[in-house]
Amino acid sequence: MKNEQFHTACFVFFCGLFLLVLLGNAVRAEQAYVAEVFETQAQEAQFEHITKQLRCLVCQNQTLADSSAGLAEDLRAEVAARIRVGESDNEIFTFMVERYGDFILYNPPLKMTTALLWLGPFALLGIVFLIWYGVAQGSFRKNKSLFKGERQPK
Amino acid sequence: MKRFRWLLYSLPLLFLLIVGAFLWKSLSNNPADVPSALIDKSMPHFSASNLLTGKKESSSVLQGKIAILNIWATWCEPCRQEYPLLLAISRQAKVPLYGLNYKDNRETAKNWLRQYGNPFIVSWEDPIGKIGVEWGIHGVPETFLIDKKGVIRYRYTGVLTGEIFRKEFMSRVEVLQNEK
Repeated sequence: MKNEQFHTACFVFFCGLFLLVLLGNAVRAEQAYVAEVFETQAQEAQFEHITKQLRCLVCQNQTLADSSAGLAEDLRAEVAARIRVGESDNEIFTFMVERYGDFILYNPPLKMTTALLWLGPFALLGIVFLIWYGVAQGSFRKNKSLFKGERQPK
Repeated sequence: MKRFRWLLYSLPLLFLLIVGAFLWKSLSNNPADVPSALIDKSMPHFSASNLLTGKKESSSVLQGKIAILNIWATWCEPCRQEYPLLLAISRQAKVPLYGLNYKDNRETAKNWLRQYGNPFIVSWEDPIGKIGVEWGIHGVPETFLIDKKGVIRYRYTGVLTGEIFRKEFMSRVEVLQNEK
């Protein structure tokens, strides 16, 4: 196979793999626990919405909605009970944070202490861009003579 | 100018080394070591059954003196590892030790205390973990240090060892004893 064909084949292969992974994530497995029952659809929606924003403290990369840990079950029951008596999202999140701290929120709140966490990647991207720009400018200047048809002296 | 370029090119490597050092250090972090949100707050009071007598007792007995509350369960394997230490703490009687039997079976827990000894002055029942949620418990064993005013001053997540007890609990107890 020629070099170019090989590169194209690799590219298509990895694109395919990537798409497969994306598709795989879209097809969610069945929940590993008994779901909570609600009277209204609004309550169900609220439950789903809240439990997807809370972290399971046992399996810490999972949300409360996904985890089958014992503590997750308890906390889901607590959230469900509060929804049934009509508590708002805010009230429920406040309840959880009061007892478990900010860490129980799956998305860390934007505060002074987490500013670095949220803005860090963008700042990093900015720095990398600056370095790239500086290096590119330098090499552009260095190669400018080539555009005039001259060879670079070795 | 050539020397200057070396510095620029070494920046990514330097950055990699610094980040690498942080990541290496965090490999030995304990993910369960989430600081308690209740530190320096008044303890969440409760009224629960005394495991041995079955009578309802209030948690207010923890107030008025420095006390330690240990969260335990018979199904918790690591709890067994710290059990000899708990017995020793109760024998030494320097700080009163109380227990919260978390999501356990009453008979199993009672038999356990009878068989292995009871280090707790009182052990409350928390069969469905309601009290646990109030105290921000996310694993067993956990041990709380409560001051004379009923304020939670420290929480340790994990198996207690003699060293941790001395370093984290007794050192704080000495400081707290001088408080009003």
